[in-house]
Amino acid sequence: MSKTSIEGIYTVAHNKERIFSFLSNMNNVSKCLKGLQDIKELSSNSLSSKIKISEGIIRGLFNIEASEKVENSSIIIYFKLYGTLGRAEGEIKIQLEEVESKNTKILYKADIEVKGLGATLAKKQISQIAEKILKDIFECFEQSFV
Amino acid sequence: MDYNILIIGGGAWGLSTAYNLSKKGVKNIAVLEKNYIASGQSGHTSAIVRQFYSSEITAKIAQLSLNFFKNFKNNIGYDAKFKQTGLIVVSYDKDSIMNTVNKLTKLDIQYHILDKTSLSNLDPNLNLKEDEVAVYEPEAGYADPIETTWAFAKASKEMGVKILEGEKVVSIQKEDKYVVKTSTKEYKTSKLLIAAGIDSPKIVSNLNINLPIYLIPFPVCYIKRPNNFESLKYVFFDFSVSYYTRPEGEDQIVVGAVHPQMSYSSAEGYEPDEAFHWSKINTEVASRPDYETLKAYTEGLLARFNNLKDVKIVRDLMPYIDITPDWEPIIDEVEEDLFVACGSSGHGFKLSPIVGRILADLISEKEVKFIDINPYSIKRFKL
Repeated sequence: MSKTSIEGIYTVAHNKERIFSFLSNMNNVSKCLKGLQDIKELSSNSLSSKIKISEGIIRGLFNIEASEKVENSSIIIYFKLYGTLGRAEGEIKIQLEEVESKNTKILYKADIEVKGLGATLAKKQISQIAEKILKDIFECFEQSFV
Repeated sequence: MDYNILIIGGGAWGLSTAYNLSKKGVKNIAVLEKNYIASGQSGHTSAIVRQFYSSEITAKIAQLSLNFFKNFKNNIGYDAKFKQTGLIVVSYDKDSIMNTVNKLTKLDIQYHILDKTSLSNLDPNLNLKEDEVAVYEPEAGYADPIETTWAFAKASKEMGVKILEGEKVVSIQKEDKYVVKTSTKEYKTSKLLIAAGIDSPKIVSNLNINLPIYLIPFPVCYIKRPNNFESLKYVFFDFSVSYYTRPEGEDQIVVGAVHPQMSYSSAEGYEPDEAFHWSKINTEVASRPDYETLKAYTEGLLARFNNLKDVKIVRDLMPYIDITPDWEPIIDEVEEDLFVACGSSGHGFKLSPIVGRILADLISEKEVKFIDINPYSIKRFKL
């Protein structure tokens, strides 16, 4: 087993309320996840699905379970990703900070625990994949507002 | 005890080398095995024999080895129980798969791209998604790894090779000759080959050489073949879900992990995690595949085969494999008269007939004329 953390800031040209409303809806987030297949909505804020990943050594179809909650104005997404190459699970904490000219900073921190073959083969790549998935989500919703 | 050539490792590579050296007329050879013949990776391999590699040298050695397996009994006098079942590969990495097929075609390795009709003719119950491609290697199959390794052992013994089991190496020193100490004896040899699988880097480190080898546990399970389940009587690689299967006797199927670097995808840019460097792993401690991995195998199979209604796991195991950063073996003379063959990266068994021939040439003649083995040189890594 190995643990990895990633954090970063992404700035978008929309106001905080609009972004909060978008990101706190699991349905919106799932639409922004590339490669998602067979989505099953388990409740208004949770889903199970399959996701196709093709990044370096991590390639294949993985099961994903995700749920979301709002806590003290932060959005927390819990996720579990598993397949024959192992399992990654953890949480992504998202905080929003309004900056001048109606821009909003999205501050994210993800703590990921990796188990199984993926942990032994590609710990470094898992951080890169997680970072790419988050960037894809932020870019996707930025575009969906245009 | 003084030998011309001492081989450490009584698995398929070590014993194939002993056999090939003897066939060339080399005398006074001994093989040291810490446990019993084929007790290491050779006893735990899936023993799949296929040629589907994007690496030209590995595909070529696999091709020559497969030809050897097809005539194993005629070649060596004992049966490897090779079964030519064919191999179906499924993946959504269409471009990489097609590139590999094109490369293999140039090497005269037969591959067929399967359309829905031809796939259905091979297995009407195999589901192929619209975004996936399926290819077929008709010559592939699998052998019995214990019979194969024993075949090399028996043929070697008949030519005078001494195979010494229960001889665990505790130290090696270079004097005028290599001096190998085991827990009970001391051996001297002019030429030393270390082909001890996952134990190789530790043994080589006695001579202050630190090999870039990483030890990875690979999850495997055996499932019960349901009554009247006619699928998976061939070797199957599902790269969309990252598992392989092959038949195990009449009533079981072996399922294990596989990923593209073990076949059609380049490992360029891949950096193994230092936590799995050989020096940090205690291979004496066994682990087991976790529930999620086995569940993923099960779900992958159920989604792939219409005629499969449930999957019963019979047993599981998690053998280590020794990988290098580029997922290609190290086969080289690393110091004068010190030869190393390890880091087989999951390809070892199927290459064993020709790896033995390569090592026999390298050890006895100091050069290999029939194939360029530079891609397997230690010099490709910074030590």
